[in-house]
Amino acid sequence: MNPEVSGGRDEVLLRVRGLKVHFPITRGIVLQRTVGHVQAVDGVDLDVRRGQTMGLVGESGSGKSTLGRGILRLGVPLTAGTVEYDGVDIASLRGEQLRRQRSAMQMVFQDPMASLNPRQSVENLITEPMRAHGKPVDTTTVARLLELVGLPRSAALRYPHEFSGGQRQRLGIARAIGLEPALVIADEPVSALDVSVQAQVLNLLEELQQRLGLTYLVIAHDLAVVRHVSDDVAVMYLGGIVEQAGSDDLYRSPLHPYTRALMSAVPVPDPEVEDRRQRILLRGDIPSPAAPPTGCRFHTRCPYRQQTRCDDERPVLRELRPGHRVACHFAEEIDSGAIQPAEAAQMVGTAPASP
Amino acid sequence: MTAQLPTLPTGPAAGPGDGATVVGESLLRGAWHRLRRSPLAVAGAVIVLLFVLVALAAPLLAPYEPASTQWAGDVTPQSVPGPSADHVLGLDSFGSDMLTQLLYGARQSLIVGVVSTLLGLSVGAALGISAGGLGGKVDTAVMRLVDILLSIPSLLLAVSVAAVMGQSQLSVMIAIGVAQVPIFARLLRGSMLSQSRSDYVLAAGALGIRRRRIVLGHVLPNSLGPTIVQATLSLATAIIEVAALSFLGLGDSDPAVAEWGRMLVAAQERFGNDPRLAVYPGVCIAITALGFTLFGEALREALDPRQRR
Repeated sequence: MNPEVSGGRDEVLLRVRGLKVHFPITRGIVLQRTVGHVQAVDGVDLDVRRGQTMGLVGESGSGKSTLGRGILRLGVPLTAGTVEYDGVDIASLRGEQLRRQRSAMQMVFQDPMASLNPRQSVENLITEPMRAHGKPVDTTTVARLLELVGLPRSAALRYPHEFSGGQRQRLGIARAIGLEPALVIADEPVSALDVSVQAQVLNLLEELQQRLGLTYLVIAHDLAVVRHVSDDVAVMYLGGIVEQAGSDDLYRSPLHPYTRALMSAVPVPDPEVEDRRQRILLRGDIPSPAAPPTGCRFHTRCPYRQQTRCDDERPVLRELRPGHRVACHFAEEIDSGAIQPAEAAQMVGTAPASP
Repeated sequence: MTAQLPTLPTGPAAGPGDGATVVGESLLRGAWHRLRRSPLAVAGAVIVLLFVLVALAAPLLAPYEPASTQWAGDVTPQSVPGPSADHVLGLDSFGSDMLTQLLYGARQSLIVGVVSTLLGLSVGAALGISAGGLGGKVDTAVMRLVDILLSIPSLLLAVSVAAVMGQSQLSVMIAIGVAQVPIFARLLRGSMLSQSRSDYVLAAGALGIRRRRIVLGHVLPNSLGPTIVQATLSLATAIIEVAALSFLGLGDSDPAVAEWGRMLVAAQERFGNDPRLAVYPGVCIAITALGFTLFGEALREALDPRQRR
């Protein structure tokens, strides 16, 4: 959004290294034994630069929401790794220290109704967290915050159920920015909203970023939403990041087969381009994170799968072009066209689609 | 959806209902409005109010002193004098005025019902809050204790407590209260646990609100609905159980205290000749219990979040 944010201090606000979130699967009623782990997030490295927006995309089950909650330490146990916020390792914080840290990193939730206490008036739900962090609250605080998110002052004495979906999401945002955070993690901030309202809320987020210098991590499954708001985009598949690049770069020339498949599913507004567009259909569903495939996690569904390396060696993220990192052994060959998709059946050139 | 989203203005959104009323409608206020519109709730409330009024004003309403046996001479082993100008509902088997006894009986039922329910509610709620709020080992320990209490039929539990503590009004109240403890504890713990999993609790955690405040300020108020309803319904059960305990001879040992359950016992041996002796207190118990039940059920519906919007 505003890429010209730089300066002397560390440009990276949030630095995630080797983050793993494994949930134990237990059997037995009295004596519980662990029979396996759901590897929801399995070794994620992520850098979010100050004042920028990082988009995190992936289909459901890719672990993107768990990653967001893991970073915020929200009811999710971290198995391994570090989460460094402004030089402080949050992963090791406990109790009161963690609680105090929370004012700096806020979350916007997917379902704005469910995330607002139905018994709290707007005034209350905005001021309560501020009081919990010892922020000054005076008579103008609520009105000022409401105005900032585009709600009338008169909303202060109302209750969440009296608002529309978009207005509730504005309340959720007002509540979060009341704590003056530097980082806001938005977990599917608009997917529960009507399409007509989505743009308004996204524009609000953008406007607030410019006014308050916020840094965003936006989690979404909607590629259009992510492209609209993000400076950088990370693509997640089955607990790991498979590709990360600047937003335009990623959308223009995706390198990872999974990203290519995702991009090929987005319709193009230009009908001529749309007709020539190749679509890559992925077979089957995302595998279970309790028993992820060996080697490259994507090899079971990858149309570019090769005989060697893919099913026994897990690719690491490597920088192919400046700022463009991809976790695929054969990214160069795929990009140059040296490797073609194995099965022609998976490639569907969209003839003029029947309406 | 295309890659390019339309740019819509983010101007101030209009307030719902636009302006005229500024104060919003809280959940409780909404419940109150729904309650007033429900005929069952009004009927229940009228019965409950009448009952409470009668109980409080018994000394003013009653034509005679309670438990005065001055007309005992009129009672023969075969028959009890029926309604007359002096005694609107006739005499009871001890030769007291039936109406007076019934009015004072209401008093007794109210005291025992309210005190025992409050007792059960406060102990049960304390257990439920600690189990639902603290979780873990506390939860396991408390719930096993409650399971043990629940495995004993409530009337049997009440009988045992009354038998151990001896015959007194206090023991009746404690007996009935103890029998209600597990119900309240389970109910409150259950709704607190389900509320704890909701998004707004997670959000409160993300906002850095203290755990204690989340449990007592967010989870608990949202979990109280079913418990309030249960308390209202429990008043009905308690009144029936008071009668049952008295009927079993475990009630207040002081025969001067009028009590509907004991009136039923006394009516038992004369049921063949004078069924009205049993009918009057029986009807009183039934109507009172009905009133509390109607009101409780209506309250349940009014507090149900699905009734909203």
